[in-house]
Amino acid sequence: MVYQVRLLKGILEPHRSRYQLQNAEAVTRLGWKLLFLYFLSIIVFAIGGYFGIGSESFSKEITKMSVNEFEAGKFLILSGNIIASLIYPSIYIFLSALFFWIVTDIPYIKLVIVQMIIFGLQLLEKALLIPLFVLMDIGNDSNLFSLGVIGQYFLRSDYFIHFFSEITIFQFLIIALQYFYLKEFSQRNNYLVLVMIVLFYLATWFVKAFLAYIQVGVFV
Amino acid sequence: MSGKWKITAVSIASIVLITVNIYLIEKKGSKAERTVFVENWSMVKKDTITDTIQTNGVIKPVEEYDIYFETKKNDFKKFLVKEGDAVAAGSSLFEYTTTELDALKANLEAEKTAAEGEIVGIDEYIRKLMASQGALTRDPDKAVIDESVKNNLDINITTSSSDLIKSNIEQEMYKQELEKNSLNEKVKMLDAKLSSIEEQASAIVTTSEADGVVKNINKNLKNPIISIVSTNMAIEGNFTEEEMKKAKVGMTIKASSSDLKKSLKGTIGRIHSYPAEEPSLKRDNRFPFQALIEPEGEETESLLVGSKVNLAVITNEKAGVPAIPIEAVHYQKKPHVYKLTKKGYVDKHYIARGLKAEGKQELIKGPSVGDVILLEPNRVAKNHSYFITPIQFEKVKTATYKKFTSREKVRYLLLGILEK
Repeated sequence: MVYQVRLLKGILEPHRSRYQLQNAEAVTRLGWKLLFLYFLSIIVFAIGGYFGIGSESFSKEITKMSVNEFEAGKFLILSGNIIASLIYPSIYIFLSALFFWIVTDIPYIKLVIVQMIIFGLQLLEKALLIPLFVLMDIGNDSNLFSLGVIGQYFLRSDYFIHFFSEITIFQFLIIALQYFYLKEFSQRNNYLVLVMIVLFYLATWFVKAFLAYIQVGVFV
Repeated sequence: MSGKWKITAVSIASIVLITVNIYLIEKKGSKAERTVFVENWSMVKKDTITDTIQTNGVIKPVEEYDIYFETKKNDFKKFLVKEGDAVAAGSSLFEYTTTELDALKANLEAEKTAAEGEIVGIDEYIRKLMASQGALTRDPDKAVIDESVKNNLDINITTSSSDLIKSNIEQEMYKQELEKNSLNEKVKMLDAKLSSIEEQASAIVTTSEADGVVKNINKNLKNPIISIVSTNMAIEGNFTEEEMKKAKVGMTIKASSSDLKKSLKGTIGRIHSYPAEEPSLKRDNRFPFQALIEPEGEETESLLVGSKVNLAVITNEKAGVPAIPIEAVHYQKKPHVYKLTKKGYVDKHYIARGLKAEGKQELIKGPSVGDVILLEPNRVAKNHSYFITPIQFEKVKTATYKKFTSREKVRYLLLGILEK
């Protein structure tokens, strides 16, 4: 049985696509779908960059630079965003698949396909946040779908506020979907799989929080 | 069933979380960090703010002189000008005679005639006296002396000596000469009077304050019989009640229209403090004003009477003051603006406002020249927020990158890659 990679179906009809992927002997259209995902990623990141999402630390330059310099600087940031739009899915799809391949007994290619489906969800979240941030005048820490807002009321540490703001409803859905796929593919204990997944996501939140916490100016 | 229950539970949990978050973000004194999306900003600039009243005007002659004619006492003779004629100051407009002057003249002339008649009589008498004198000298005994002379002499001729008579006649002659002299003086005076009357009665001379053009002549002698308009042009218009509070005589004006090559400059010369029409509650009262046009040296454009112009009356002007676009000012409670700080925050600054005009607001107190000010103050939900700005691609020029050090370039690129 040949499995056709269908990302949207993977999200909307998880039972069916899980069954198909479970029994797949060969995979087609993987390359095209990967290209498509990269393309989508570039689009979403570029739109976010256009609106200046995440460029708070650069904004102070408005008082020191000429208009043209300021815009040129932002264009560099946008270019950085586009580079990130290529790095981010690569890490998310191939590296994380490698991690799960190490901790589970699932074939690498199936893990890649699951990661692709889930990356689609990640992109969807990012795309939804752009208009939300712009229209509501909020930043990542005050993401409506996250625990960041509540975190700001109870936490002093900027780092942990960033951390909690990474924990969103979408992330829970992603974890659930990932667990839904992986527990079926894996012969191991379901709880072990869940722990691995949760650990993996905790790690990504910590990394993302760290990225939000650091100021690049420290290094360069 | 269990699947449905799960979905319901997740949905409810999500909705609760989102609702709580919205509440926590939007509530007053929220602790939630905000990032203001800043699309438009502006620097505080040293600027000139000119407050003007924008109104319309119409080109009209500066003044109109009406010339009146008293028909009761005077007789009109003839006009000396036609409608449309240019008249210089002091030129003649029409002739008339006055009945009063005629009577005076007739009196004077009668007096003159009488005086002249008397002079003739005196001459006659003096000749007779001389003749008597001569006769007495030639032959004193047979001298025949004219009756009129005899009667006038103080002495009795028949009894007096001829010498006495002679000296008496002599005296009489002197007396008569004196009389004649005084009469001659009188005639001269009367002549002078008459000639001055002549001059007055031949034409009335109108001296207008300025050169002008005869606008109207009433041939039926209804007053005013002649209207003269000055060749100097002014602009007339109306102020509303609101504008009246600001407008003052002496303010500079600028007038422009599609017909004019250059805009006209001038000053407000007159403002009527009484409305053009009877004051009323229902209607907006309008107060007429007149602005005088400054001549522009040699090349003064000829202005067409009645052409409409757009008028700007400069009511206030401040030069070289810190100014911001008015949309940057937020009036909630106390007027304030938001400054984009060098630390990357949007900070509230209270301001003291000066002159506001042309979409600009003078800052008496507040951010100083060169500070960056947010132009959409309504967006700021929380003071001291971060802000982000969208890219304006049209302002991105490759040449600008020469100004960046490579370290800066890498930093900004990394910022785009790493920072969230």
